[in-house]
Formats: sequence, C-alpha cells, structure tokens
Amino acid sequence: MGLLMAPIKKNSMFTLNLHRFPACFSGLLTLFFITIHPGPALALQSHGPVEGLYVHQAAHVFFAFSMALFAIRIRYSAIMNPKATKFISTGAILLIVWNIWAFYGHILEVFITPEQIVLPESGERMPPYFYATDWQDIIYYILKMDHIICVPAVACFLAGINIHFRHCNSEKLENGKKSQSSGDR
Amino acid sequence: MYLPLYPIWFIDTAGCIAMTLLSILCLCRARRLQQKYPGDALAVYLLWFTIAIFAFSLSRSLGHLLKHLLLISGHQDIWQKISPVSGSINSITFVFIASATLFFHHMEHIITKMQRDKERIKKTSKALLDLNREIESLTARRSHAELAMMLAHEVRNPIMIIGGLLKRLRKRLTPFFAQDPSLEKKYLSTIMIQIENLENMVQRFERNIGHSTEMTMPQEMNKIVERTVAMMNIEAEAKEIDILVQQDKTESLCFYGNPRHMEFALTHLLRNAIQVADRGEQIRISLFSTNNSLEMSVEDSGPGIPEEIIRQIKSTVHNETLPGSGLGLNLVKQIVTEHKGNLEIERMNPRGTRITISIPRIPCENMKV
Repeated sequence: MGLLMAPIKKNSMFTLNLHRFPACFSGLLTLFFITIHPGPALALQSHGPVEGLYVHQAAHVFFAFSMALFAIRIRYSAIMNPKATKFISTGAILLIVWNIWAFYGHILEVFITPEQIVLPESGERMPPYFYATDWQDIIYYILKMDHIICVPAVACFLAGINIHFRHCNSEKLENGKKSQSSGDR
Repeated sequence: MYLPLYPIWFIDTAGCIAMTLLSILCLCRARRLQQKYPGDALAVYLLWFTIAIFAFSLSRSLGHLLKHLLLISGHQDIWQKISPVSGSINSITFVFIASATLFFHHMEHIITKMQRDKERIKKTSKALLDLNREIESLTARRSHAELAMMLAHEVRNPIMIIGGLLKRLRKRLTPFFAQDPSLEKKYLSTIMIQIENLENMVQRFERNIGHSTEMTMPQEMNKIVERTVAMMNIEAEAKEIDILVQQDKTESLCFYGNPRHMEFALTHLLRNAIQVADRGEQIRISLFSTNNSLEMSVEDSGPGIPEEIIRQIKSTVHNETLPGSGLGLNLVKQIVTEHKGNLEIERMNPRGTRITISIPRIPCENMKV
C-alpha cells in the first residue's frame, strides 16, 4: 500500500506524457505500414566503372582551378621574393596546362580500342606500336607524352623554393650585420 | 598509321624518374627552410605545398612505372586490376594538392598580418625603449636635483651660523683689533669674504637648479595622444580593451612643454587604466580646451584609486615623494606641475577613476615658430 501510494516523480519513465501521444501514435502507425508492405531498401548506391573516370576528371578540374587561383595570388603577393614568385606561378600555370592536357587525354582514351595498342607476344621480336586510325588518335598519341609539361612545372617549383631559400639566408645575414653594427654603436 | 610506343614509354619513364627526383629535392629544400626558420609561417606553408607535390609526383610516377613494367612483362591482367587503385590514389593526390594551394589565400592573409604586427611591435618597442631611457634620465635628473637641493640647504645653514658667529666675534673683539687694525683685516675680514663667497655660490647653485632647462617647445597635444594610444593599443588589445579618444577638433590643443615627459605621463595613466580594467571594457581619453587651459582626462572602469592615496597626491608638493603610491603617479604629478598644470583624480560612481590633467594652452600658430 505504501509502495502504491508513493508519489511518482515528474518526467520519470512511469509518467505518461499525454501531449506526446499523437506523435508516438503516428510513428507506430507508419512503422506498422512499412512492415506489412516490405520492398528493396536501396540503401547502398552501386557505382559503375565510369564513375571513377568522372571523379578523376573532376579532380583534374579542381586541380586546374586551384592552380589558377594560386598562380594569380602568388604572382601579385608581396610575401615572397618577386623572382621566386615568378617561378612558382610559372610552375602553377604549367600545371594548369598539364591538367587540360591530361583531361583531354582521358576523354580521347575512352575512344581507343584495345586492338589499337599492339604489344609483342612472348618470344616475338617486334616493337610495340599504336595503330592510329584518325587525327584524334594522333592527338591522343601526342597527349600521352604529358611529362613534357609536368616535369618543367615541378622544376619551376624547385627553382622558386631555392630562390626563396637563398633570399631568406641573405636577408638573415644582412639583418645580423645590421644588428651587429647597431650594437657596436 | 602505325606509331611506335617507344617514344611514349621513354618520355614517360624518364619523366617519372625526373619528376620524383625534383619533387624530393623540393621537399628537402622546403624541410631545410622550415628547420632553419621554424617560426616562419611561409616556410611551414611551403613544406606542406612540397609534401603535396611530392605525393602527387610519387603516386603518378609509381603508377606509370608499374604500368610499363607489367605491360612489358606481359602481365596486362594484373595491371587491369591495379589500374583503378592507382587512378583513385592519383585523384586523391589531386584533391590534396588543390586543397593545399587553395589554402594559400588564407596563408597570405595570416603572413601579411604577422608582418604588419611585427613591424608595429618593432616600432612600439623602439618607442618604449626611448621612453624608458627618457624616464631613466628624468628620474636621474630628479634625484640629482633633490640631492643638490638638500646639499645646498645643508651647506647654507652652517655657513649662516658661522657668518653670524663671526660677526658677533668681530663685535666682541673690537677693542683688541683697535690696537692693531691690520690683524682684523688679516684674519676676520678674509674669513668673512670667503663665507660670503660660499653663500653666493650656494645661491647661484639653487638658482640654477630651479631653472634647469629641459627640452621645452610648443607642442600639439593631439599628436602626443595619437602616438601614445598607438603605442599602448598592443597592451590594450591583448586584454580586448578599447581605447576611445574624444577630442575637440575645432579648438587649438597646443601647449608649451616637453613632449617626451607628457608622453610618459599619458603612458603611465593608460597603463594603469589597462591594468585595472576588466577584459572587454573601454578606456576613454577626452581632450578639450577651456578658456586658457587644455584638459586631458583618462577614464577607466576599474575599482578606483583608494581615497588615502588621492589625498596624499593632492597634498604632495613638488619634489616630495609619495609613500606607497608608486613612483609613476608621483612622476606624473611632477611632470604636470612642471608644465604649470594641475592633476585631478576623481572616483567615479559606482566604479572607475577619472584622472584629469589641465595645463595652460597656447595658440597653435606658435607651432610654426
């Protein structure tokens, strides 16, 4: 009797909140209808091989866009030695060109059939070759040599960083001399 | 048309090796730069940039070289399996390098701000150093003046006593010297002349101390306030305190005095105000002119200066030291007194202190002179 008469605390699990009743009821009703009419969940979207190419191409576009912004910003930036910024921005521009180059290379690659690339069989003494049927294939052949662009780009970055490094060293040396001379005074 | 694949393979292989080597060199140089200048934000950014370039070069080169090796060795099927993985890694490195370069915009802002702040700190440090030197010399001059005054006072008294006693002695010994007047001239008169000389010397000494000339000339108070506020803003910003300057721009705000001393006085008042103010509060500097004087008040919202110290400052005369109130406020009062001005301290209700300096103003046309 004493237990029955004990007061139930507000918001405890025994309290029935009447204002939440319609929401609970509608939720239970929905769950009921879902369970009596089952169907495929379609929770995971399947990805075909072509999506990989789209993602790669999108990455090329993003890369080119960021390089364009970087080239502009660093070209007019005052935080680095002008000669160093010139080299780094040139490197960035070359990477933009490389991205466009690679982007078109990937598009043309889609139209290349495996039969066009002829590789020697084992024991066969013949050079590997590419069979070009039209001008697009010739462009694809040229676009395959993309290192002509991206190697100079990295070389430009190296030159820019080297110049910045030398500039920092000479500046430090100059500051050291200045402080020494002011200390002597 | 049959096109040989050897040129493509050669350029690709040589390019891959060259690119990897160049990116390694980039990374090494950036690492050295960062190690040599560890606090340099640009060096840190260049290191991240070269890491991205290296990742891009490595993933590309390894993929291409592996492809050639597998194709030459007749393992096309293995390459077909590896190719998507290599392509995906390439895509990831593209995004990585793009993200690193896009961050340059923010990095440039940070570096520019850092450089600006560095210059500002350098300038302020120099100003503070100059001010400190000025305070040191001012304090030294004050100490010398006080010592000299004390010395003059201490020397004058015995001289006066000796002089008085000698006069009385001369009177008493008049009959004795009447017998031989040459004796009086020989001893007493010589002593009296020497004492008079000493007295004159002390007087001259006092006069010179009283009129010690320091660098005084017509000054513009608003320029002094501007300079001091710019210098103190760094301390104020660290506590997120705003220093607001209200000034009467229509009236002349010029005075005759020493700019460094006035700058010191204001610096001290502002520093005190910053120390007692809470984070995010305001300090107000009002600058205006009345009939013949120029008034500058510094108002803070701190707990206020205790009444006892205010009374002590009010009752203190020039060159008198204030026990327990700190040398700073004492010097401020001395500086204001030297400028023929007054220092007023008021406790605000419910919190805060207002310190007002009023000094005689002059027409700003005198500045041209």
